[in-house]
Amino acid sequence: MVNLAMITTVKPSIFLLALFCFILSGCAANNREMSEVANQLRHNLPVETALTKLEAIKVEQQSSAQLQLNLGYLQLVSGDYQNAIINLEGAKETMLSLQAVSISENLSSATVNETFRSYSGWPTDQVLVHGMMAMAYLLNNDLNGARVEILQADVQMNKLAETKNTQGQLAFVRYLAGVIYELNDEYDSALISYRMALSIITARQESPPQPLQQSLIDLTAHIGLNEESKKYQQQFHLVLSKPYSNKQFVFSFDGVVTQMMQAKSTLWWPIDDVYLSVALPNFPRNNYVESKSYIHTQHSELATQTIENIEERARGDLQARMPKITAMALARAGAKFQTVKELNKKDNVLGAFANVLTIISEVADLRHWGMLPSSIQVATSYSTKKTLNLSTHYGQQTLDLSQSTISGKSHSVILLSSLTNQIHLASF
Amino acid sequence: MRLLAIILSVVVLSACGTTKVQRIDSSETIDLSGAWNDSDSRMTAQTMVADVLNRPWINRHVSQKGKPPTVIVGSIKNLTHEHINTNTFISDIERELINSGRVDFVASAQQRGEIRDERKDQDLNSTEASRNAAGQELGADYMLSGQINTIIDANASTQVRYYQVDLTLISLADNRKVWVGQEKIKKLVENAKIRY
Repeated sequence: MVNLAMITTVKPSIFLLALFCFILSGCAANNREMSEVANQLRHNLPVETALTKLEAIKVEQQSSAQLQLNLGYLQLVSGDYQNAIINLEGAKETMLSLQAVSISENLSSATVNETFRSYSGWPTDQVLVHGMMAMAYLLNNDLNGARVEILQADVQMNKLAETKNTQGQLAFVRYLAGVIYELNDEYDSALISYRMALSIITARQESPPQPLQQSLIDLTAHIGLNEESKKYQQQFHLVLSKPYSNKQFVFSFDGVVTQMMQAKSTLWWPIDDVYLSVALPNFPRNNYVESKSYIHTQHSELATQTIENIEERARGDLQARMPKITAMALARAGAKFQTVKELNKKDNVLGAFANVLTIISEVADLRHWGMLPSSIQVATSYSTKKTLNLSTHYGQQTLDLSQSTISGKSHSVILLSSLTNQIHLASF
Repeated sequence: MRLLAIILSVVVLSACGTTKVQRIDSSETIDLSGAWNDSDSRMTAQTMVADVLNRPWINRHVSQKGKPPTVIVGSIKNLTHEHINTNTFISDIERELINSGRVDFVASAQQRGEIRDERKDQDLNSTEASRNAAGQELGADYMLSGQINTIIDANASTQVRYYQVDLTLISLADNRKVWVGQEKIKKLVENAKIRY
C-alpha cells in the first residue's frame, strides 16, 4: 500500500498529469469496447461476430489477459477448442506472472487511477480459467489434458482458501473435476471432488443440483461406502441409480454476466476536511433470469440445474475487493486535491486546468471476464439410444450419439450454450 | 514532483525492451518457472536407463537366450499438474537404451504400422533384389512403461514441486515385472513477491 502522507506531499506538474491522462485513456477505451460486445451478446449478437469484433480490439499490455480470457471463452462455445486452449493458456500464464505486487503499478494507480494495474484476474477468473480449459480439452477428446487443468485448479483453489474467504471456491470446477476423474475410472478422486463441490454449495446455503446428489449416492455405493450412500439417499430423497453403461454429462452455459459500471461517489477526506469525488466500480442490479435446457429421455424430462451462479461470484469478488479499492481511491483523490491546491496558490488558471484534468483522469477500473455466462448448469442422463432429444434456448434439437455407440465408448460430455445453437459432444 | 517524474520514467521506459536471442548449449540446465523441463526429462532418462541396464535381469536374459534382450517403450502416462509432452521423455529413454548397445530396440506400434505400409508398397513397386519381405520382424521381449506423478504444495508465493517417475519393465512372455525403477525430483520454487 502506498504511504498516504507521501502522496499528499507530491506536487505534480500539469504536463505530467496531462501525459498520464493520455496514456491511461487506452485501457478504459479497450474495456468499453469489450463491454459493448458483451452487452450485444446478451442481445443475440452471433458469437462468430462477437469473436471478430474482439479480435479487432488492440489492447494495452496490461489488459491482454482480459482479452485472452474473453476470446478463449467465446472460442470454446463456438467449437474452436484449439484456439480456446491457446488463448486461455496465455491468459493463465499472464495472470500467474502478475501475482507479485507491482511497485510501478501501485504508484500509478495511487496517483492517476486503477486502470494502470495489469489485469491479473479476479479469484473467480483465476480458477474458472482452468475449468474452461478443462472443458476445451475434454471436448477436444483429450482427457489427460483436462485432468492436468483440474489438478492446477485444485492448487489454485487451495492457495485462495488460505486467506480463509470463499472467493474462488467454485462448485462447478469441483464437480467438473469429479466428472473427469469418473471418466478416467478414478472413482476415489471423483468422490472426493464431488464431496468438495457439495461442501462449497452447502457453505453457501444453496441447494446442490440433482446430478451432483446422484453422483454422490452412486459413487459412494460403487466404492463400497454404503452407509454414506444411504445417508445421501435420505438427505436428497433419491435412490441408487440402476446399473448403467452409458452416461451423458450435460453442461449448459446460460446468458452473459452483467457488465460492471462506474459509480461516482463522494468520500470524506479528513486531512483537508472536505468531501472528495471518486469513481468506483459497481455492478448494476442483477436482472438475470435463469433459462433452463431440457433433456427428453425415454421415461422423463430432465432440466439442467444451476451449479454455479457466476453473477453472484462476480459480485462477491468485487465486494471482497471494495475496501481496498475504496481506500486507494480516497488516497488518490486526496493526492489530486493537494496537487490542485498547490497549483491554485501559484496560479488560479493553472489550478482550474489541473482540477479539470484530475476529474477526467478519475475513472474506475471496470475490467473483468465479461463474456462469462451468468450461470453454469448441469444435468446427467443415462440414455442408451443413438440420439438424445434436447430443448435448448434454440428450440428442439436432436443430438446424434451414434458415433460414441459405434466406437464402443459409453460416456459423453455435452456442452450447450445460450450463445450458439451448436451442441458440442465428446465421447469417452 | 520527483516521485511523479520517476513514475513517468518507469512507465515510458517499460515499453523500451527489445527481443534478444542467445544460442546456448542444449545440455545446459536453465530453470525458469520450476516446471518439468528438458533437463528433467534428459537427466531422469539417463539415471533410470543406467539403473535398468545395471540390474540382474539383463544378464539373466543373455544367459538364458544367448542374445541381448529386445525392448520396446510403451506408454508413459502423464498424471502430473503440467501439460508434459511425454514423447520427448520417451525419446530420451529410447536414445539412452539404444546408445548403450546392451539391448536391441524395436519400433513402436505406430512406427511399425508405417513400416508395414512401406513394405507393402515395396512388394508392388521395388525390384526383387531390393525388396524387404514381410514376416521377418524382431519381436520385443520386454516392454517399458510407466507414469509421471506430481505432488504440489503451494502457498501464495512458494511452491514445493515433487515429481515421481515410475517405470516398469515387463516380460512380454509371461507378464513378469523384471525391473521397477523410480526417480524423484523435488524443487522449491519461490516466486517474487514484488515486481517492478
